[in-house]
Amino acid sequence: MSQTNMYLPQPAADSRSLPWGRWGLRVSAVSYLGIMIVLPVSAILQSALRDGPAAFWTEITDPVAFAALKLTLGTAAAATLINAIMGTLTAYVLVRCEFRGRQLLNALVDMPFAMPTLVTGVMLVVLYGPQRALGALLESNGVKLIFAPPGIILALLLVTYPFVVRAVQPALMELETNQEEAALTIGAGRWVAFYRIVLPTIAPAIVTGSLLNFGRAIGEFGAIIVVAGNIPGRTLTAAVHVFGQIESQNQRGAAAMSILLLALSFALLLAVDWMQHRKKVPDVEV
Amino acid sequence: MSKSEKASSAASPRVRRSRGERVLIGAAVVYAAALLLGPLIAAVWGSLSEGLAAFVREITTRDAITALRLTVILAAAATAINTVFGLCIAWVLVRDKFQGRRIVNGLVDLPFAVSPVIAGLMLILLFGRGGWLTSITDSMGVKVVFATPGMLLATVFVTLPFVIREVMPVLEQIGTAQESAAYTLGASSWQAFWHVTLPSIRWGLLYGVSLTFARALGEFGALLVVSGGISGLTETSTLFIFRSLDDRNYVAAYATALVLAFLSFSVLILMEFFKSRR
Amino acid sequence: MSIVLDRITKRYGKQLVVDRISLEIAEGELFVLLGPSGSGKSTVLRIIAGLTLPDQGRVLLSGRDVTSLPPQRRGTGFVFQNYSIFRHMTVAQNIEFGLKIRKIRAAERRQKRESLLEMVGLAGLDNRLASQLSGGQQQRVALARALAYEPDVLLLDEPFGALDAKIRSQLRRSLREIQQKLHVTAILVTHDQEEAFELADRIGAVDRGRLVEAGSCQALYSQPRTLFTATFLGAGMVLVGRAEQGRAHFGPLSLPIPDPVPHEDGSRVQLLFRPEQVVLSQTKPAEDTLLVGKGTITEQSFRGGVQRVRLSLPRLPATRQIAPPVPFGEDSLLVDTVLPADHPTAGKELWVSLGGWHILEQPRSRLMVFDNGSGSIVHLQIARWLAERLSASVTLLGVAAEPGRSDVLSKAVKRRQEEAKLLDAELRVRSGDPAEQTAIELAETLYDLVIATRVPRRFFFHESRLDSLGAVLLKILEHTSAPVLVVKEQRAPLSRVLICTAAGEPGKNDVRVGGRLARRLGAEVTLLHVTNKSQDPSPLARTHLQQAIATLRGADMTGNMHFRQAATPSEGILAEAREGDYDVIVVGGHAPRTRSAFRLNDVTRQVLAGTGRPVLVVPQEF
Repeated sequence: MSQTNMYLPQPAADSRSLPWGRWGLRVSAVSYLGIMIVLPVSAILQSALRDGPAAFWTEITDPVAFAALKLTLGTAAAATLINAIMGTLTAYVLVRCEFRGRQLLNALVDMPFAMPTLVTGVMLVVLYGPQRALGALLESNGVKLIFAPPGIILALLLVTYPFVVRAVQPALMELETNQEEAALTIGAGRWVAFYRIVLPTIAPAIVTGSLLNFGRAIGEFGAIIVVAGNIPGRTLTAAVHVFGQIESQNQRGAAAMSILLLALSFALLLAVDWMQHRKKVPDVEV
Repeated sequence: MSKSEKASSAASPRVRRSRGERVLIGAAVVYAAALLLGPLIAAVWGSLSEGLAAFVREITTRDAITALRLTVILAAAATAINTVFGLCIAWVLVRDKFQGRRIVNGLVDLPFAVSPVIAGLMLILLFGRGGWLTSITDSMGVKVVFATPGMLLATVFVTLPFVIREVMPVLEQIGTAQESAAYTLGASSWQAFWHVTLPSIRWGLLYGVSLTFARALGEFGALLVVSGGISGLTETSTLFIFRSLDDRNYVAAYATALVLAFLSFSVLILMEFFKSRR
Repeated sequence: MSIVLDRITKRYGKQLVVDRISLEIAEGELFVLLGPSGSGKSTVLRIIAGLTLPDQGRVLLSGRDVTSLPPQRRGTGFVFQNYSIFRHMTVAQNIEFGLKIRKIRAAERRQKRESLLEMVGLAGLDNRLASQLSGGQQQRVALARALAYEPDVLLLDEPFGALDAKIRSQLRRSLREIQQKLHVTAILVTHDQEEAFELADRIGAVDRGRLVEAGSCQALYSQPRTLFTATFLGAGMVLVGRAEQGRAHFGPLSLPIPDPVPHEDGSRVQLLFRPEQVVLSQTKPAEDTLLVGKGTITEQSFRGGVQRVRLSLPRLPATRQIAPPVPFGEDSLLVDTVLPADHPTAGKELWVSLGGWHILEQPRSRLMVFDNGSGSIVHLQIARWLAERLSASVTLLGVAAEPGRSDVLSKAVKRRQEEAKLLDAELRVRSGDPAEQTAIELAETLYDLVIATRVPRRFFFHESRLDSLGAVLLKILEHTSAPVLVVKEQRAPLSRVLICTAAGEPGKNDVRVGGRLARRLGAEVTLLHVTNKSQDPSPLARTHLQQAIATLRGADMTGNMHFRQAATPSEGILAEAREGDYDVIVVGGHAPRTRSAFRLNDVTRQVLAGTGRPVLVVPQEF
């Protein structure tokens, strides 16, 4: 302090340092995350880039790898789009409509979170597999689900169903009904009220949910390997490709694809984080 | 005045639902049912297609039972670890405003975003042949990859965020007033946490714990990569299902899948209960 | 003495929240810390409880230094404003919590709990869950819980803030009873003066982190020392006049300044009178009453047995009103008082006189620094220097062109404030026209001195010598009601003051203000008179100078006298300033009541434009 002090030297309050217990907690929290997350990710980075960028590039542009990446992004995008629409619809119905079985539907939404994805895949094979009644029926009509890209999309739909619903639900609850009602009283139709009042308000939540949905979809493995198998160029997704590379002892190839997926996931996380902090007022400087 | 108004409106006959609303509800319910319930019912039907006896026989084979036991043990251990550390991390992230908190907060979400196969690959790169930490674990005489410790690590990694993400908002919401009150009443930090903070966040914590457990029960991708796949030793239920499918032993696969689904469902019901109390 | 605070200071970041608070509270006393929200009073309470550590200072409880002890080991009982009841526990578990922690046996705990529940009026509710109680009941439980282990000190942080009026008054009564019965020392924090009056043995008024004054309710209400206490504790009229030879002058009123509140001659005096001290009469009162004037009733409101009325009177000459605030641009004196309910009021003209009055302590000097967030920071540096010398408080005023820019401006000014190390200044940001907003700020708050620098404009195409001052600054000078120190370059310490008596119309004000400033800074004063003919001053000039010297003597000052011959007054002043190397040039500004009607007089403008030295422009009457 440059200010001249006209008072006597002030008694200082001592022991301003953090209590050791708090330090201990902080250190253990950070080091746990360091060991569990930072260390493994660095191992992948090192493994992929150990032989230089050229080798990395070769692994990525390998036709099989490239096709896998394309398939992953395509199916994930399709599943995300469908769930964005149906998820928003489900959330709207759950929040705004009173009907019998609402509680049950609400609980059902969480099922994919609890259900092992491998089990999900098994169930889908049982239902739609070529040996099954429904599967045989579909096949005779030229629709092939299992061991085909549509099966991947179906599996992804099931696995990622909760994300959009659970993101939109709180946003809808926050949105007071009287805004919507006000629109109705001034003569707007229900659809116009939804389109002009509700949708703009919950749009960020839909985007956030969709981003999470997409992120989960590109990483899905258990359901896909059962439903789609691993036919290179046709049903081999990126995650399955990584598994194949590990099995064939090509760690560099596995790590290269992993890095790509990691980068994508990380970008999605950043986007979600940005979406969630966007609305908040910037911190006031004290 | 307002009370009587409310009462009269409650007594008045219900307004019939509009057609548009009924269509919406119908669409949502049919979609959810077709997507979620259809496969479930099919799985029940499929696993019972060769009769109840075959079902019982398949789920009581030595391999199936040891796999289930390993699954539950791994899930329980991973849940315990992540509950303790998750609480600790959540507390630090909410109450302890240190520099770099935002980065740490972002790290927590990473396991959500990473494919489980990649999680498995990470462990191989760390503990496999020529891995970063292999020499250390070797000198300790511990085999990590293709053995139970690696499977535990994989499960812990994959389920790391749940407790943290469920506890943080609750912790934020209860604020520090009750903790401060406990301090002024003479409670130590530990007593305040145990008697005041923990009971206040218990439903959120239990929800996070059950999510962790459910997720751990069903982990497959990461385990497939790091497990040795030795039946009866390092094989979990999901791995057992996968092997059975490969061996075209469909009834065993479907039956075990159903058992696992049943377990997950029980946890789900528990979760719904915790959520309603939260 | 049960609680002693010794120069407690706390900062959050750069913000000073608690500023050297010292306080002694006797055993068994109920002390109320009263202040507006954000004044730091709750932080003081948390520091006593150990929930917040002070940056500096000591806390003593019953003679024991507890400054660095954690809250667990201080033995204080704390009642929070809200939400601190353990919601997952029953009433009984809540109350017994502190005892259980201390490992008291169950039978004893139960006995204690039952007697406490009896005392707070909740007997029989032992097994109710805390979350099932009403807000008032929760606070009763919180009180019982805090008292259970018989703390030496009870701390209450706005305990009734979230409750409705009726329950609040019930709880106040119970609190007072219990506190007296248990003879426990208590501090209660509130922003409600009524609550303070009802509960307190003594009140401490807190404003912006400082304990402004402490005393009994009666003393603080009728004989406050400061303006803050006078206006925060109840309604009252505050007028500002001037002290002269032991008397305070407010227009026609001349009141003796009582002994304990001495004022230096020429300084401002603040007069307080409460509504109940106003005497109204239909006929003109006798000669020896303190007559304020004749007013009309402009507002009235019904208050049960009485009605509150506001009268509007002509403004007293050379007097300003601070409370109640007079709307900007209005030229009247507002007096609030009460009348019997049946008294006819409409359109009545009544004589207003004073039945009692009180003179506040000489206020601490206040500086206002006008800053627009860019350009040189010399004015901020000079403000810091002056604030230290005069031990004055500083307010930084920024005016944004539009409300949306306020945040940006406030950040810029803050950065400059730090750069100039003007840390304790208060920042106010207004939006609108800079000169107008400055004038409004000056009307609403009383400042002794305004400091400004040349306000740069973005484009200078035809910059004449006069315009180099900047249009905004000129406008401020034309509108101001306080002296303005215009700073262009760094020039501290200010040790040589040049007062120009013949710069335009002669006024006593410039001499008095310049003289007082010089005395407080310990600077040397020179009076300058410029003639345009000979060395021999005219008779008129002599009179001016004699008046000026008398004014200086009145302020216990002597000064040199210089005469100078020059073609124009401004030339003479500028030459003298250069040759004598003066640090401040004092010149007269505009006349009063002519705001915006006149341009600033030419001599002043020429002096301002012609020198880089600080120039103090004194309005002729303020």
